[in-house]
Amino acid sequence: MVPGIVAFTGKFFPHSFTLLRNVADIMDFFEPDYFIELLFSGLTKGAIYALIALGYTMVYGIIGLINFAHGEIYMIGAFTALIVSTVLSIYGFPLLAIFILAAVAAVVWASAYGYTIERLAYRPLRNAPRLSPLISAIGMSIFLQNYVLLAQTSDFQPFPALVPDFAFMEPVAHIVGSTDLVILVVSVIVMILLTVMIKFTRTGKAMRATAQDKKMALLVGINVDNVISITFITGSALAAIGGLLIASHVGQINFYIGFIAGIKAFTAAVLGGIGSIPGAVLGSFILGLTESFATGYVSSDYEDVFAFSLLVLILIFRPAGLLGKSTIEKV
Amino acid sequence: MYTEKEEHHVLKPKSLHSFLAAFAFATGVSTGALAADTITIGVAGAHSGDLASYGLPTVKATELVVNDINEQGGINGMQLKMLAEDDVCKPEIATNTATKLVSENVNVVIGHICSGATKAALPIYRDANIIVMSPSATNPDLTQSGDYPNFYRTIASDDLQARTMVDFVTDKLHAQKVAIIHDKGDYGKGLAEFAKTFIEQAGKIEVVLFEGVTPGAVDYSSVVQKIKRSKADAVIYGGYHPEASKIVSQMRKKRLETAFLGPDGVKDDTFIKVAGANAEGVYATGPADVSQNPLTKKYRQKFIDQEGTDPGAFFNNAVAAALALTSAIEKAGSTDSEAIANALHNETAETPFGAIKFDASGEPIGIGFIMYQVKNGEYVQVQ
Amino acid sequence: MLEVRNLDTYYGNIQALHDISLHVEEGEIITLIGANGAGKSTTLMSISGIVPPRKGEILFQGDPIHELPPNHIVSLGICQVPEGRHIFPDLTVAENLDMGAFLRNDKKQIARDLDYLYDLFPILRKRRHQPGGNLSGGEQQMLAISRALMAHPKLLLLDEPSMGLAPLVTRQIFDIIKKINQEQNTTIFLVEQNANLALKVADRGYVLENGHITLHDRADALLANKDVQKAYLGM
Ligand SMILES: Nc1ncnc2c1ncn2[C@@H]1O[C@H](COP(=O)(O)OP(=O)(O)OP(=O)(O)O)[C@@H](O)[C@H]1O
Ligand SMILES: [Mg+2]
Repeated sequence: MVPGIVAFTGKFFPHSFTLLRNVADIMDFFEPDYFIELLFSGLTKGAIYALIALGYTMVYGIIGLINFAHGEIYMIGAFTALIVSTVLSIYGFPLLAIFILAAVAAVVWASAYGYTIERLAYRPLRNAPRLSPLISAIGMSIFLQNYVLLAQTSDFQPFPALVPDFAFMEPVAHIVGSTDLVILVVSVIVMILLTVMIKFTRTGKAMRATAQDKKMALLVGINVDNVISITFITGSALAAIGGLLIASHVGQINFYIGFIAGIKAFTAAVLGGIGSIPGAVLGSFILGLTESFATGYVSSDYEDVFAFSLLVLILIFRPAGLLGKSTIEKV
Repeated sequence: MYTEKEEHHVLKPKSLHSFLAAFAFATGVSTGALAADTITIGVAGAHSGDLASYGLPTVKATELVVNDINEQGGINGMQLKMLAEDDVCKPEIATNTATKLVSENVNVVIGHICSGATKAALPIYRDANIIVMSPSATNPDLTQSGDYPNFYRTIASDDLQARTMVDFVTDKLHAQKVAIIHDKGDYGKGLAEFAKTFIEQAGKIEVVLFEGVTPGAVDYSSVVQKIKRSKADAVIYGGYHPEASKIVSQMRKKRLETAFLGPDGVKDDTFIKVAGANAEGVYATGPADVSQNPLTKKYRQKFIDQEGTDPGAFFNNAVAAALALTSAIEKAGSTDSEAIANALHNETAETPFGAIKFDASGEPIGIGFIMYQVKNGEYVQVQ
Repeated sequence: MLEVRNLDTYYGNIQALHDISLHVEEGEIITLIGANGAGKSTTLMSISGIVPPRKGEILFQGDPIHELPPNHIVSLGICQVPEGRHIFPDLTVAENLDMGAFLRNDKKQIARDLDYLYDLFPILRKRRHQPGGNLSGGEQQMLAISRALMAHPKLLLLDEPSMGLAPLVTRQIFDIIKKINQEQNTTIFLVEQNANLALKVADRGYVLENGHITLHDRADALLANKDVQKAYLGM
């Protein structure tokens, strides 16, 4: 018995030392400062995805359509902001005024596009087989890309820094930049406003009702066509704000930015449960953080591999996404 | 920057090559003796198909140089003749093209255009003991493998930019730790890998980070944080300017002032336009500016006069090849391959790139990359 | 009050209604009975503007409404409780009722109506913060009727309110239908498969067969009709 105990303790203690060493190793590996830096990078990325993902999820929630042209709306918002801010800076407007006017112009113009796309490309196909509006959406996306390509060439164009470097941010600039902060703050505000609108306003309720039961929405007197238009306008406005903020974050735009950002935001929306607004936000932040930590602790070579593996994994366990509802109707 | 994408080359039985070569050699001897008063320059490359725009300027360049020399009485009394053969940039056709040129008794060959086609054709020329000089095949293997002693080129090989950057980082910037970032593409990743290999071979400094980023992403700040953590003294980037400007801008925004070096894909005015103030101080390799060279001007003008358009890609390189080969034949005083090779290695030739000669592996000395740096919104040569 | 004239309604190329004519007078309860697939729900959907007729006309208080959009028809005072209730599952009971008053602006009167309905169906008051989807079938039917009443309709279209309900609950629902008709003077157009029950509360009735109206009479006369008894009353 005794040798057994000795052997046991002998085994036990070195083991616990290894364990302690492992904890220290893990702390070493994660490097708290570095962790925080990656955390903020991930949050910024998540906020960026969220601003675009909301449009996908809202439209899907209302009419069950994946609006492939949504990325292009974001791109058009960014171009509108670029053109307006360029003109205004020629006339010597102050930066804040440029920022606000560019944002207003981008929102208005992108919303007009969103509205028109729905009227022209989706509404006539409302009662067509499901595949038809989807193909129409892809067509719209290609059309808008090429339209901007012809108008603006394929070259990257510099986008002015509409967000200045704030002096008070200097001590933490190595972790969170001023644009990062603005993106985070604006996206949080936008999400709160959106939530309030959806939850409490008449339009918001009409949106929810339409999303849940379109026929019944008609029967209580909701103008469903208007609600759908408003949804496209709201989603487009969010994408336009995203376009302006993200473009000033990365400093350049071309006709193709909508496609790439759109794919990621769409992934985030699916991850969170497409059709669900909190889901889109959650999915975006999870995606942003996953990418950031995967890059930071493993390798950016596999950033996309991680992102899409995560998507597949989540969809295996929750086919409708994290906060998505599986569509079982109670009769 | 130009790399042949389809690198598949057709392997034919060695015996067939030898047979064809022997056959060609036999006929070559007989007709060569008869027509000793002309020198034939073969020109091989894509003269039709998708890549014709890369091949045709070479034909024109050779024609212009040949006409010039013939007007002045030829080389040592012998007139020059040009023989162009199309390989459509396809390796399997390039072998036929080469066999055809060999059987026509060409003395030297300018070509081929694409690396893959060149590689496929080279054994045939080698076995026939014919010197080949490509204006555009940039694959490092062609010279470094040692398989083709008859091969020369008037363009920098793909790895030369990486070599230039690594030398600069080591000798000029005195960096100890280098981060290498690339865009995962053929061009960018290839370059990054060359840089890594060179640094590791030299063993003087250390590669502390080697990572690929996703092109087009909205944010690179995680990679930037990673660069910061690596404590690198310099970043070597393999890729194009859109990602480079995003990465540099985010580095500077995160107050990371590490030196940043890019290849010719970054030495683009759009980079400066887009990155703005953040572009200041960035290094990029690029070819030397030869637009003021008298030979560049002369042949460019001739081309424009005759064709009405600007000469396309590799035109200067083709003129350089034609001038280097003809000058070597003249200096050698013979069309004997040994003598020509000797002249190529030891005597300089005047070309649109200035005076050039060739090293033992066939790489041009005098055509290459130099380092530029952004200063006051402009790329200027680093002294 | 409501006059339907020579209505033809189609789903694509399939004709569901053939030359339907009927009328509803103010304050009446009328019922439309018929077998599965006869076209009862289609008739109501045509009136509500969800499936607009291809031919014929619908007049409400003398004005044509068959080309109006559904929300406009609701605003005139025609509300429908569709077959299957169609509760908004993720809205709370209170929000569902709120949706019923979507086109109204008179906040005070809305609050009073809400109180009235909560008194009528106390269970709804108890459950007002629960999602509508969590209610039982009977509770959902009460909610669906209440939601329609929140619009203060002049004409209430009810599509099979008894479907899937226990007899006791059915009786309760029918009592309330009568009550609404009497106390609020709401005209009621009732579609039922339970012909016995429907004809007992109704003033008049129509019989629909394969998209055709085959009979029209006073409710008590229909109850006594041999054919009706055989086909719909299981006698
Ligand atoms: N959306 C639709 N598309 C195509 N055909 C339909 C549709 N809805 C109903 N129909 C058809 O129209 C006819 C009438 O249907 P309707 O629903 O009006 O019958 P109903 O009398 O209400 O039957 P039930 O008692 O079963 O509810 C049926 O033949 C049905 O198959
Ligand atoms: Mg029915």
